[in-house]
Amino acid sequence: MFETALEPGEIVRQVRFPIPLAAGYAKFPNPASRYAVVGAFVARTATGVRVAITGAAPSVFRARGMEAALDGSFTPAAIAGIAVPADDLNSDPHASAAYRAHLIGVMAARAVIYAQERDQGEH
Amino acid sequence: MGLMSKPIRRTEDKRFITGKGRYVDDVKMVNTAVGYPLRTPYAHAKILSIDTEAAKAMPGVLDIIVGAELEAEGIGHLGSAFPPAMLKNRDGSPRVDGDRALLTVDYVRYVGEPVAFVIAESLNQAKDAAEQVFVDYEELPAAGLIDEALAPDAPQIWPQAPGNIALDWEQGDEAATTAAFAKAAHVTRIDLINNRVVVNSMEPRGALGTYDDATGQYELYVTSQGSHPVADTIAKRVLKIPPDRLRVITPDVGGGFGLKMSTFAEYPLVLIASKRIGRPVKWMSERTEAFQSDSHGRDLKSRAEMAFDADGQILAYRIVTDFNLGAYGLGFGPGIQSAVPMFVVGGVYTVPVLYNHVRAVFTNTVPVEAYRGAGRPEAAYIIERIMDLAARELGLGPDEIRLRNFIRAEDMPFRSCVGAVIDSGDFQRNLKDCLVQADWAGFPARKEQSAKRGLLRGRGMSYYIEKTAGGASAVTIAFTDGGRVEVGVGTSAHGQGHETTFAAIVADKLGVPFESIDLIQGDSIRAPHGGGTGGSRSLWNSGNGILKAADAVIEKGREVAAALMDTTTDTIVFDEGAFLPLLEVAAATRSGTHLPLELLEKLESGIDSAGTHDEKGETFPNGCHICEVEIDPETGKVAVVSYEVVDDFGFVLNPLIVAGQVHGGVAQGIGQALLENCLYEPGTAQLQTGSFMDYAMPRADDMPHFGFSYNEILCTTNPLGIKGCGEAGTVGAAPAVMNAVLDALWEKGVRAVDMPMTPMRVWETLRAVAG
Repeated sequence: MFETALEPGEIVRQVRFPIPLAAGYAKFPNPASRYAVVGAFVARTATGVRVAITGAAPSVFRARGMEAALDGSFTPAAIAGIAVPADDLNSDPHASAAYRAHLIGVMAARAVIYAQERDQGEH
Repeated sequence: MGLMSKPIRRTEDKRFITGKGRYVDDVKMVNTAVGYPLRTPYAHAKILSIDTEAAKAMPGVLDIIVGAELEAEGIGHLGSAFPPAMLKNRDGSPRVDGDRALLTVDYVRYVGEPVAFVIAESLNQAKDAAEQVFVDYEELPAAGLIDEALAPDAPQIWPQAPGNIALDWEQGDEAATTAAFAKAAHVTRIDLINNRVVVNSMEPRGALGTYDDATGQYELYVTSQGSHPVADTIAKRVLKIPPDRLRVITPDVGGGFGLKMSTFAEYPLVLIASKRIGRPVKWMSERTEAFQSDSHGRDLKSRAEMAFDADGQILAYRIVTDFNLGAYGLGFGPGIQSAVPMFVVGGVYTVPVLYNHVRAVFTNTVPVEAYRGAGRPEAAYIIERIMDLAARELGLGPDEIRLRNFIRAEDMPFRSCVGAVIDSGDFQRNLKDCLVQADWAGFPARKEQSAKRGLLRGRGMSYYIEKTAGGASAVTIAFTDGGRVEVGVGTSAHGQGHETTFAAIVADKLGVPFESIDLIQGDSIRAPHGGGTGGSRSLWNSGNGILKAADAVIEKGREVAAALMDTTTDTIVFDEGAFLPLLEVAAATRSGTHLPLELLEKLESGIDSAGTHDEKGETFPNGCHICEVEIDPETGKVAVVSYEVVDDFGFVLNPLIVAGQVHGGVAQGIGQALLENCLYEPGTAQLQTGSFMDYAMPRADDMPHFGFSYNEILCTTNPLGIKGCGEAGTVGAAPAVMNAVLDALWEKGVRAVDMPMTPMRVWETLRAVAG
């Protein structure tokens, strides 16, 4: 925890983002605040696929099971059966943990589709 | 002229949309102090003591008022607008309203109830001081939900209301209804929850009070729906002063929706505070306060049953409703689900007999009062949902079951089994027009297109009726020396565009320039007495009243014109294009030159005149709504993709304003059906949706394009022939949307849906039937 906390005398000098080969973001907004109930960012990079989930848990996290599946085949079908456990997810009157767990799958699949569309658009 | 029936743009809008409106918070007075209510965080607790000493020593604090002081001074309490005799229990015993002091003394009964009023130089100083007021509470068990308050071991909120029943009311004929059900070929049953909503007027509540100790005169600027009702309540009930000692002024108002009809504790408190410190005192609600302290809307549970014969004809209707009154019966609260909608519970159908049993339930929540439609949307929701369900069970189309049971145009005026006399209406025609407008026949093709995109499409219909009228408000027409026409009304616009609509009537009737007319409203001393604006009846009141006052002006004007032209009155015909314009007649009357003294003495105030529309006869606006939705089964998100309305508002005075009313009303109905939900936590009665972060207000992108048209079937009981339009959109919308949602989900096996159908609830509903 807090391994990136700023220490006295330190300054952030550089932030590096690898440019993905393809990427997509899908978000399901909270109907009231419109912040993400679940947001899924999927990136296919030269070193592999990354899947980050925001909104669903106390902090953003990587869906590593999905990453592995998408490394094999970068298609929505590849992650269709991958359930994310609801145990550690947020729960509020707008979205229970079970609903969030379900939405992670839906949003991740849509993010893959957006990434594919983007991919094709550039070629 | 001919301004009436034209879509003229609202004269108010330029100042509203360019930031030049003058709302309560824009009223600035030198040396104004800030009032801030300390609100309790407890849903239910006994107050053991209140210590304000430390708080009074805080910087900038001028005074702190507590309830015990007001009791000692004999300050009166707030209460219900319904006299006890007007709304009683079915066994004849009186209902219970509870007893609402401005600042509670012994108990707090909901989160946000004010316990002290801090007056300071600035808001932040007042807030800091409020934190230092020490209130010793003994926390008590709380019940915020209807079921919790009705449970056998529920905390008792008022000792005089055992079981937390504030009102046990009925209408109709129970025995005859039971007998009719026994003969039914088919009975449809439905259980419905009408979700609680927060009003959320764009401008929150606020008040600025002054007291002049030289004259003993109070003045209150307040955001309200009518200055006179507020003035009457404060003068008679709270301060116990002669009505002319208090002037209540309502400047521009940013939305009311029923909320601003009532008098809230903060309004007399700023007056009392001003008298105590000798300076103006202003309180302006912040949004967080508004969520806690504004009266809420809806919140009821109903079981309804409809008995049919073998042909799908209604035999009888039975409804049992429990509604959440909150901790106090205030304003119109006790009547919202009982007396207010009682003439429209049977909708637009020939219902031979019905029985409606309604109970008001005390809970540890902020009081529930009027919210756009006030009981009539709830009544329409129940009957239009059960009619749709019955159609499915009977194998009829939603249009067919309605057409079979409609009260027919040729049977107007129609006396319903509950005593409503519907003067006019052509429900068949409006429904058939709406089928065409909504391309009802083309739905299967659209459904197929949606299915190709993985979406579930549904369509829903409702046919609502409302009853509006009553509460006579006076109108005065006066001509000024400067050549302007002052029209005083007892109604009070808070977004309705009365400056435009009323001026159009005056201009047309009197042939005076539209631009020369000034509307005097929202002033308890300067404007004529009236009940304010609410219940879709201001055009009925003031519009018809203007006709009367204008007729009186013309009569007097003819006498003056005859004298000026040295002829007899019977030779003078009033014509708006006359060579002797009315403004010249008025000017001549004011100067008195060339006029016989006896005529001037007879006229007293020149040709200025007054009129009140106080004839009997309600209006029954009605119309057909057809809605289509698309549901994403993966996320549960419901999108309203089309919305069509055909209304009957009688004579339409300004089609632009009427369309705006319908759009706004439908938006509120869609909001309730799909988004809005005010939640109190089970067990603690803590408000869970206390900000826009958690309470989903509808936004523009939640709304479809609204298709709107109307048939002008004139009301026969008022001279203008108008029917009220202000709440109609809300009354019709919720059932149309929910019928569409159920239609979309029906093929998946869903058989029941409750508002609001949020994405999670749709997903859970689909998951439940998928097993």
